[in-house]
Amino acid sequence: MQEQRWRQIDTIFHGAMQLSPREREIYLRQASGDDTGLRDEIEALVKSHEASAEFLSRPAMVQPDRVFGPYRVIHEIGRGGMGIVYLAERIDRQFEKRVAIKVVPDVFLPEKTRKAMEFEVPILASVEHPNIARLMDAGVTPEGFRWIALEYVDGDRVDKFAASQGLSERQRLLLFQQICDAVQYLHRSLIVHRDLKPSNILVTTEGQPKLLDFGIARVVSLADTGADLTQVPAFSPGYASPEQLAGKRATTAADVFSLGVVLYELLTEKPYRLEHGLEVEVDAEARLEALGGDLASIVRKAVRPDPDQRYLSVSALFDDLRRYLAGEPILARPDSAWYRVRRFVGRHRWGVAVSAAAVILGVFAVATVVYQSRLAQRRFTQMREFSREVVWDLAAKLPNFAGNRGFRRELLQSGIGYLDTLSREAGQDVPLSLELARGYLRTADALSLSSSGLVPDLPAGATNYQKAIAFAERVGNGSPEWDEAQDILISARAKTSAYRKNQPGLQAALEQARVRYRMDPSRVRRAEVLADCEYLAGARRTAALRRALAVVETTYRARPNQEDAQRLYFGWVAKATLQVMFETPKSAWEIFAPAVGMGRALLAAHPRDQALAYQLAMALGSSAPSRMRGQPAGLAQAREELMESVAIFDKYRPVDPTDFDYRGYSAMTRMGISDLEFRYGNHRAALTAALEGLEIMKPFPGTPHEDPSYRMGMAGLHVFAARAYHGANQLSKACEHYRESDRFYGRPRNAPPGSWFGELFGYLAEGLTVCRMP
Amino acid sequence: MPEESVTLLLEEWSHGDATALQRIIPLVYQELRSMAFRELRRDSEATLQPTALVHEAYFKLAGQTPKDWRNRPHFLAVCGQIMRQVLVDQARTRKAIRRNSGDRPVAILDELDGLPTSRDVTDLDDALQALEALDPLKAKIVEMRYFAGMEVTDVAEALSCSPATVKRQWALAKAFLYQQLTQAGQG
Repeated sequence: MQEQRWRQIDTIFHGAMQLSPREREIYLRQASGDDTGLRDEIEALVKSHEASAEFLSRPAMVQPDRVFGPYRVIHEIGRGGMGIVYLAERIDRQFEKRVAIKVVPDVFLPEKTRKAMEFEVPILASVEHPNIARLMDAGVTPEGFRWIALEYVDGDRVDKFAASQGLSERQRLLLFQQICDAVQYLHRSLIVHRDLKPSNILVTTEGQPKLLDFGIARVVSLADTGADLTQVPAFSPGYASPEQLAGKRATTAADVFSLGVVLYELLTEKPYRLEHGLEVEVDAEARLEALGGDLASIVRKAVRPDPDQRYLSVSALFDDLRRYLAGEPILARPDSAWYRVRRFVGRHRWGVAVSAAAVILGVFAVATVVYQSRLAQRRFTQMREFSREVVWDLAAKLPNFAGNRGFRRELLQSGIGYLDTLSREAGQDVPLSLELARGYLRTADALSLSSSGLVPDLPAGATNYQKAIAFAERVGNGSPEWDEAQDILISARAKTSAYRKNQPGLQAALEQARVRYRMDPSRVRRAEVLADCEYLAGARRTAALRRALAVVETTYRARPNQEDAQRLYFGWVAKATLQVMFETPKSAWEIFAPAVGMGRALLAAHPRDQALAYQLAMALGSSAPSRMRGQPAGLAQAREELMESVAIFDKYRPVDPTDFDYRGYSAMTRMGISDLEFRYGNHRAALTAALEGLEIMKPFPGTPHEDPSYRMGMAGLHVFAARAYHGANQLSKACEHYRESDRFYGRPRNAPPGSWFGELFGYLAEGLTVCRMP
Repeated sequence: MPEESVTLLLEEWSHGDATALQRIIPLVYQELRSMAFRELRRDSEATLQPTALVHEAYFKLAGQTPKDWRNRPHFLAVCGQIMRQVLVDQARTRKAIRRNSGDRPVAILDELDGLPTSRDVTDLDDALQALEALDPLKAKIVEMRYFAGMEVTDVAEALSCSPATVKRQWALAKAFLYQQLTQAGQG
């Protein structure tokens, strides 16, 4: 009975759905006949239907937990962007400071994107600026919720703040400039904010603006790998640039656009775009006029639809505001005939001059060309500034980023791209030539040296050394840039010569370096260049290093600074390692003591720096062999240090398992363990460690088969494996490894008998003799 | 193709091969994730966590007796049923916690959207049971659409009917539940 009635309801309800509200009434009356109860019921359902548009419109989902890492949620602050934001405090109440926890539901994003974000968090965490809310911590809950903890800012939205405080135009502009400064800082760190809007800019009660929420920001250079990320409409339509709305990649120009909109709203207190429409920009235009000529021009230039026609950087926008505030002429020109003609002429501007159109346009076309070249000059200057900041700073930091080969390679490629673009325009510009030489030398080093964590690409490195030489040669004697150009020249020549196996070229560079060093031994760079050359020439490696280190140490002691501390530390480790391997110091581990001490201090100060961690682990691993050869107590000490080394490698396991630093260094530690266990008589454990090392070094695409340090490592691991087999009386296995080791070992084999490598050669020679016996 | 292997595995599982289920999940998992991804794009404010949901669903699933599952949409439909359970259980637990610790403000409520009165998933569950008694097919569609987040076309495939039919059933089911939940609120 009830079912039958329900079926009736179903049929009539469906019928009603097909009709307009007016027809519906008549239909219901007819369809339900005398049964007014039925009609009421259906009418009620139709009403419910109309009211239930939102109801159940989103699928149900599980909610996240309320504890994130060391933080406990106090209450929800808001929703938006990519998830929920909570106010939270530390569970242990260790600090009074409260944080805003953002729960980012990206766990179900494609694997690649998730990786990219994992990679990004440490970079974002390194952002420190008084006008940016800091990223304090991040993690994933056991249920798989990704969260980030940001400095909690108690303040008002910038537009509300300006309105409630009744700020003057000038005060508003000064406030806005601080915001520009913060965004510019992000851009220099290669981060695009992508979602700049008043609700992401808070002003504290002290009047300090703070930028929030760069959770969706991306490192500029990750552009290609991050294609998936752009699928997320993680921006606000009211402020997003046209290219973002079109689904294209957001660049720094997108941030310029959004800042322009924020500036507009800050000045007019009116929304730039209403809900969706671009049609509202007509209103915007009228209000812009009311702002007055220069400010209107500045806003217009910032929000041009074509990214190329906006301010080329946030600092350019900043500068124009500064000029405006100082009463100087601004660079943004009103949308005069220039602009219109230029737009008309468009891309064919050069061809236009000789076309029929040019005749009609007459003087305009000529003027356009003039304007274009001026614009090009300015663009060039800005481009140069940008590349100097980005390429140089980045190249310097390159080895310090968490080991992701793809990312580093990409950074390097984009760096080379900038350099190539710049080099086409260098002409006779001396300072620029020096910059280019410096840039090419750095990229070439990064390409050629395995210490950059990349698999060395020697041919590409050589090409870039050549370019460095070409530009260094353009710097003439007598210019202030000459001295540095010479250092670059010598270093690059020595390195290409070594690559081409051009012995006379290398010797010539070495001689030049020697002369220059003797002229002024207090200059760090000269000492370093000499050390480089001597290293490449294969002579007196440690002597050269020692000298370079002494200079660095002097400068460091005179003025302690982070850069020199790191240099000194890397240098100490390198020196000590070389001594252990190739020389016969009485107590090599004593050399390691200061290096290890400094390494621990540096790592404590920069716990996220992978390069520092690897250096420390390597120092610990490398000091073990010399300890072992000391008194019996050394063995226990060595074991402890090796274990610490392994623990560090495990902790700083790279994102990319083929990371060259990681493989090389951690395999080296396995060598130390194998040696140690062998000395204890544990042949099985010695074998395991050596085989583990070989497994780590297993060939992967792009293995640098010809790299000397790679060959040396492989040779060493095979000797240790062979020795362990030999000790366990498995001769045939042992011989296999002896032969492999022999294959990898380069010649000449001239390590002194007392050194670690000398010892290895001894074992190898002995083993090979045994194996040749019938 | 995945589609086929899921079907095949479902068949194997329904014939008693318990390991087949373990092989189904990775195949369906991606689908569930992209489903959630679509939802996120549609509404950036949603607090979605389908991964956790699917994991839970899987554990429940693995403990269940295999049924005759024909294909992927069918499998998703079953997931919907499980997700309903998961959510209702979760909401009940929360309610219990709330009762037992009256002083702590609860930050997260599982309130249903689009209702004039405050209702959570457990109330929806009650209303859904009433619908089930009256019209099991419509209740099933709600499970698929709301709890499994399936698209109309997927639901139609799982039920072997036209998308138009699904839409029609969904409209009345929603109206019915809405009515139940608002009326109960007044009463």
